[in-house]
Amino acid sequence: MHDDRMKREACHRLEPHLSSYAAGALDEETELKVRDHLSLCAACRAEMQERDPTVLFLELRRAPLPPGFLDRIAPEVRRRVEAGERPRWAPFASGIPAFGVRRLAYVAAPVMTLLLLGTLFLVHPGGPRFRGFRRPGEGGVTSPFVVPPGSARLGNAGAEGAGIIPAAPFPPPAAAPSGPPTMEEIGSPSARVYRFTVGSGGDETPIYFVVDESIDI
Amino acid sequence: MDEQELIRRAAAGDLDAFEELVVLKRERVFWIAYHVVGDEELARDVAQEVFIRLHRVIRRFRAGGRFDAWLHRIATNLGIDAFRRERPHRAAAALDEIGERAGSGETATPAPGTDPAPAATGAPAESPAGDALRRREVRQIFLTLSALLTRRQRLAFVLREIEGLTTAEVAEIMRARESTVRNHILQARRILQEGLRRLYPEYCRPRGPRKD
Repeated sequence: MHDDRMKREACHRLEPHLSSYAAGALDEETELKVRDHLSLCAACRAEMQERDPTVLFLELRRAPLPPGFLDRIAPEVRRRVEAGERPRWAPFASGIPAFGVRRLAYVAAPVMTLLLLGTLFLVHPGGPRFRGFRRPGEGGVTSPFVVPPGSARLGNAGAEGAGIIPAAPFPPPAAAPSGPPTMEEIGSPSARVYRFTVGSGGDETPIYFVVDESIDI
Repeated sequence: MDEQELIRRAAAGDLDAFEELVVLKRERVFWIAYHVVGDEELARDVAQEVFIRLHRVIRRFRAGGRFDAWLHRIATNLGIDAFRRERPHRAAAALDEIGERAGSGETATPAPGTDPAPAATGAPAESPAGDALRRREVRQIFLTLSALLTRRQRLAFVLREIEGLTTAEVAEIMRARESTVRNHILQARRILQEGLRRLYPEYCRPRGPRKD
């Protein structure tokens, strides 16, 4: 009886706040009071349902549990602690239980990124560990085309100085005594062939570059 | 013995103090876990795991820190893990169910084929059996509709709206700003309101005149 009267008083006291509660316009302290009251007062909840149906879920706040339902927790925890059991659901149950997966990811992500960037830096063309292109005389890919030295010069034949292009960017081998070799275009209608010669005297070695635009790599 | 002393002694390896701490905190931990997993037995298992985990890490708790927020964060994280592991298909099933109902224009009932709970029909649920039935329905509705929320929206809503924590406490548990928590709750409420109005309209009507 006394409780009922107190409850009704609380209803009247909080009733002016219900609209603001539904609109989410209350300060936190008042909102907590209204919510606590709504969780206990079915009449006020019923009145609020149309404006804010989610008050329905306040009924979930504290459902009565079977007697002694929670009493099993403490003894069971103690038994397992004394038995030295590990948490069942630890992400790394046998290794690093306190080191969460998320924290591990925070550390692993930048490390992996640095490793990736470092690898790319080392192997990119021009990088310190790049092994893709070989210098003349160091082996590497050989051309399947065989163009005899001194064959007829085709293409760009009319242009003055055409076909003479600067030497390759890499330095000449030590055997070349007189400056960088010049490169000469000697090609054919379907493929352009460039030649330059390294060495001097009787130890000359012709090098050919074949450029075939019909080959799409 | 006050709580800080219990924590200090438990951290020093006093098992009796730790057990006392478990008794002191078990109810809140259980309810947080329950609102995350939606199942009493599973929530109790989660609560046990929370305290086993707590025992392993309590030595690292810094004196003066917020013990409750720390403990509740363990509870929510383990609850989410348990929810994912034990009920992997529930969220998807709930979404499918909602999609089918929305597509057919059918209004949902929490337990098809069963009588609606007294409160759902407008009558107050006054008997213990009516209360239990009603609560089971409401819990089922929440589990169904909360599948529409993101994990953080659901967590923020559960902790503040249902469990009654303050925004600051929820923010500490979720390691988020208070404004972010408020935003999650606002969005969660909007989604749940829409779901309730569309799928459970019988729970959105005023239920008759006040008794007073």
